[in-house]
Amino acid sequence: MRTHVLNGRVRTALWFSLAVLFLALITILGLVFAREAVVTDFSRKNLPPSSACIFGTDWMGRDMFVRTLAGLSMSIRIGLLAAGVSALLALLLGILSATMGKAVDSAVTWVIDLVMGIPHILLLILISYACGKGFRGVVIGVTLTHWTSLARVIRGEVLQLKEAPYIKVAGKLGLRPWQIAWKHMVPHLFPQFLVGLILLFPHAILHEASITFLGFGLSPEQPAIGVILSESMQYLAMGKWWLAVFPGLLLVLTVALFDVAGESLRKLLDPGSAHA
Amino acid sequence: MILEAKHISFRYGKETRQILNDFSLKLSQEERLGLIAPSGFGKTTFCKILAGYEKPDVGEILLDGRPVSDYKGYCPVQMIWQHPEQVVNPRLRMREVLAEGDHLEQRVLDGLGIEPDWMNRYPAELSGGEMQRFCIARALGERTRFILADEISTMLDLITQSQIWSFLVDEVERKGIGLLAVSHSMPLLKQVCTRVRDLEEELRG
Repeated sequence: MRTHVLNGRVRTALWFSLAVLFLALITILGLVFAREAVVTDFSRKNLPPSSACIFGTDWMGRDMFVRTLAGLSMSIRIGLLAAGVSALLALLLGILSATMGKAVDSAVTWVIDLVMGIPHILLLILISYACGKGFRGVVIGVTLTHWTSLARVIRGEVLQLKEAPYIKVAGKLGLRPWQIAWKHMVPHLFPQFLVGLILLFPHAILHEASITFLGFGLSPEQPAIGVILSESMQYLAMGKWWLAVFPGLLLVLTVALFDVAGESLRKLLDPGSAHA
Repeated sequence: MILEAKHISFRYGKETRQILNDFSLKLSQEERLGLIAPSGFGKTTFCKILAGYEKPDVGEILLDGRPVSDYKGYCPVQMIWQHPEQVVNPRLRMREVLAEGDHLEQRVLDGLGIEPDWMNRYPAELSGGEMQRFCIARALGERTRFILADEISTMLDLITQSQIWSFLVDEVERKGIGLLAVSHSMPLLKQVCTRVRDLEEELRG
């Protein structure tokens, strides 16, 4: 008996495309409305949501919908950069750790344990502050704190691959370690890497928003989601609920969508679980 | 060149059975030596040690008086494995698998009956016998001085077996490659090799 018209695989692929499409849309709209997001108009300040401004306006008369889009777009771009560099770092260190002998391995695993041992947000604040906050501080901070778990996964995979007979044969045929890494290991690691990369996004975005909210991240004049949320705190007690609720909901939606994208990609690349 | 195994002893881990015990062997480039022994004797293990894949607990493998593990880059001692599907990367096309080895003459590919069409296939799209021909070709690179053939023809039918063995014997003779052939089959080894050692008999005697 068939209850679904679409099988699990097709449905998963559909979810993935939807999530990616929506995130791309937010990113592009945010870029398009970058200028509108900072326009102030004191004739319409503190308006509750209406058909003209669906998310309402703030105390400087800025359209909260446009501002939220611009903020999320900024968050996604920061996430893209930080998660991308972080994942590359994880790939590099994971492979180095597994192939360069005991000394390198213990050094890398020690750093992994060190970074994982300190609470994320604490280390993030320290690094961001040390790097002068702002865009640069946030990106460096997020990058340096998020690579560890993926590096661990990749190290494990490489250790297993190293014992495969075809890799040992390649060594006897005179291939250099970097050639073996590139030709034999990277293709096996790529699916792991891609999924790990996408699942890094939600963390990166939430942490970016968190440290900006706490004041150690992006500067107040930038339309960042963390800035919006922390400003809204001052007005929440005065009944301006829309300043926090809509940007907050959209942030949650964005993070959830990245999770959907990563999970569905994982299912697609691991065929056994696609129909689960 | 002379390939020499001196007093090799080996076991996998501490708690397990002793597999090789004070085993020695000498092979020159002009020779084709056959090794015959029952299952579980340690033939494959010995080949792995001889080719430098495993380190013996006691003893050493010398190639012209130098330990085999000292040779960096392309190893002059190449092993052809019993199970070809383990020694090719499932994600590479056969063309790339071959490219890992030395430069190969077309004559070798023709002699082994490798069809041009197979070059663009993935390992999963070939049979075991077809894949084994690629593994044999790959081991026959220009810098190879010794070939260790570990039960390489068990998955082939008799006609193909004789075709591949006669090519391999011609090829090693032409290039002056020393051959160590390991098998269960005495008639095969008698046909292929210049001398044969029966390990079970040596152990009893």
